[in-house]
Amino acid sequence: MTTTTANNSEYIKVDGWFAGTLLITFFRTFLGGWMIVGGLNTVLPWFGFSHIFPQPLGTLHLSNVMLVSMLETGLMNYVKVFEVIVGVCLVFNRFVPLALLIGLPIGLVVFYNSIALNYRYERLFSFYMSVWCVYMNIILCFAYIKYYIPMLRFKTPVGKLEDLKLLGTIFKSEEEASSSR
Amino acid sequence: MQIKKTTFNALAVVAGIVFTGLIWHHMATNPRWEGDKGPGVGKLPRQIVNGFITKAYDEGKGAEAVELYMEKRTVDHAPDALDRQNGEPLKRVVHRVVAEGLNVVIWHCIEPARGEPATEVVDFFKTRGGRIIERHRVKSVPLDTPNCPASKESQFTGLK
Repeated sequence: MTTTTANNSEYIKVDGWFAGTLLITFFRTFLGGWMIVGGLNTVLPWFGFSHIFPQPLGTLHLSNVMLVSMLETGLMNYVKVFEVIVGVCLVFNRFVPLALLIGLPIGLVVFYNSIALNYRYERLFSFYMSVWCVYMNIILCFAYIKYYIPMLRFKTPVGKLEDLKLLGTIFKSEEEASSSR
Repeated sequence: MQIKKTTFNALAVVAGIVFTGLIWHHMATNPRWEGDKGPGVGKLPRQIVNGFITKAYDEGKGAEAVELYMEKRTVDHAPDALDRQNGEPLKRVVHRVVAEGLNVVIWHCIEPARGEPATEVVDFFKTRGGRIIERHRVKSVPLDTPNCPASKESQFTGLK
């Protein structure tokens, strides 16, 4: 993506690289939409609305056991709330790197349930969202990797109390944040 | 050619909302589950079986329970069971309930009713898609006592 500044506005140049921008944006928004629907399916009944669709309980026994146990123990409720939050963040392009990290284990459990617990290994090369939720998430993580690089640093001495002041920069743009440091 | 970043972001949000709507519609109208308005649809297996038990035993409406919680393809290995027929409510003493995955097992003693003596029974229910799709029944010899013995469990962990 190439940006130029003109009259205090930022522009994206529509060139060959723009296709990559479109693909990443498609992955972000589609994954976000899928997570919103999946999460709202459980959350809506809490407010008196009906389900969007019946919660699937899996095909094979181990999948049944895992999903029913998650529902019975209430763990599914936490998962679905986070799905809604992650989905909204992705669709509205806010806190995207954080949302992707929160969404990754959710997607991995969906992936594991679909592929390993239901023996659907042929789906690894399909377009089912049960596998593409992980593929999209990983591709998006690479697209936003510059925000993860500080986290991946090999040697990381402990910070200082004054680092807490950096929290005040999270709602600023990158330029404002770097100039205020 | 270039596009303003704020415009692109706004269009992306609209696209995300459209995708959300399309996925919502796709999931809500999936033929796998669309059209079945049974009371057990979307419920946990033990809730499905509890619904059946409540209707058939507590209300005595076995035929209605079969209509609501079973389906035409259901294989019931106890087709003559009293809980499939309408009549006086059936009292029972529940000893144990085990729910694992889509399977629910109930060990209970059915009190004398409708001309039948007290009988210890174990019912194995298999559910799918909000319905009971199979039921096996292990039925003991009718009891010598006129009524069921009290539950062996100090605190019954029920279906609800």
